[in-house]
Amino acid sequence: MDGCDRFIKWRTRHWDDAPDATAGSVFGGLPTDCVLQVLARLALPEVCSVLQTSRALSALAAEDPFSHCHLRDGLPVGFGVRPSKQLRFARMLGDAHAQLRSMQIDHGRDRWM
Amino acid sequence: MCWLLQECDTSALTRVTINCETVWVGQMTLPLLERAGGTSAAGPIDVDTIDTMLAEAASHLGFFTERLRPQTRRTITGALAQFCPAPTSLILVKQVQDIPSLGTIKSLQQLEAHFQEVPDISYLLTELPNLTHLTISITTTATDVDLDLESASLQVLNISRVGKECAPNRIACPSLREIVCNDYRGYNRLKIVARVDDAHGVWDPSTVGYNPQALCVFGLVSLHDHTHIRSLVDVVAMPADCAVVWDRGAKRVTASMTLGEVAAAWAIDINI
Repeated sequence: MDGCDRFIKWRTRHWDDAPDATAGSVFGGLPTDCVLQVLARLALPEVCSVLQTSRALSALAAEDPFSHCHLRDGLPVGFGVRPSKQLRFARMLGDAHAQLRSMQIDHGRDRWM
Repeated sequence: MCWLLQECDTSALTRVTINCETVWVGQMTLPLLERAGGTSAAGPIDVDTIDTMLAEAASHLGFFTERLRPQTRRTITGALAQFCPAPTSLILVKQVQDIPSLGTIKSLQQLEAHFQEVPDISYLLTELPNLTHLTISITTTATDVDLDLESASLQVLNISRVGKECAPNRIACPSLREIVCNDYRGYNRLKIVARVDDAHGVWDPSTVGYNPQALCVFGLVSLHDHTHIRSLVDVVAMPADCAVVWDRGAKRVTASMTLGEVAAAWAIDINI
């Protein structure tokens, strides 16, 4: 392991030993120069993928998605229904017995003629 | 949603918003509905039948409905009352069902809901002891429907979306500090009334013959001739500190204001 590895939780397997101020971020706790070193070793598509994942995870952590359930269009719409990632999201929340602090369901907003 | 409430940890769930809009059925889809109900043989050719679509809906929702426990209530408010120990804010838009179970959610402080029957509103006010903010809309075919409001906790009542037919005729809410109405000159039954000659009537700054030193009095007017000076139906007694608000907050009047003060404020601020 080089100098950067001690900052990378999944390599040191010390998931719980550091303050989780940036929970959800792939690079939580890493100095900027170490992030650059990691990225420099990756091919361009992988860099894009890592950055995209990091951004998404950071956003999820910030919004704390399991405390706010917002299900939108894609639930049963009038007399029709679409297979929907929202339904999968609802199933995931229920299967995980997620703790909810707020819930918003927008249902039947689509119109069909 | 009932399955989610059944499965999730709802011990900290305080805010719930359910927006269920009714589907818009147009001329192209109306025959489809009629055919499904067996009342018409006419129907679009290239559209699936209602039964097919309902079967499709059932297949996607089957996971949830099959896993509902027998004892789980099947209505939104019923499941909320059953599984959520302390919801404080509930918004039900275009969603009218199971009023009795809604009345059992004693922790509610803010409620926005759409009703079909005026007595449901009075019932909920008596059943929800912690309710401070109530926003209502209502669907009724009746005209000049009077609300009877009695609540020790209610602080803010929003009736700006009830339409032209419904307004409070009795307010027994000592904590009430604000009633939000829609436009003063629109189809709004709750108005300022003034005594002119020997009768009360609708007042606005253009009214002539009133006493500008008189305190504001609020009253219900008839929709059938709502702009006429003598169209008053009933005077509404209001808590002393309660403000009545029209025109999205631009006009704000309390019973402690004189008509002259209101006229001055509205003539300048609203440019009547």
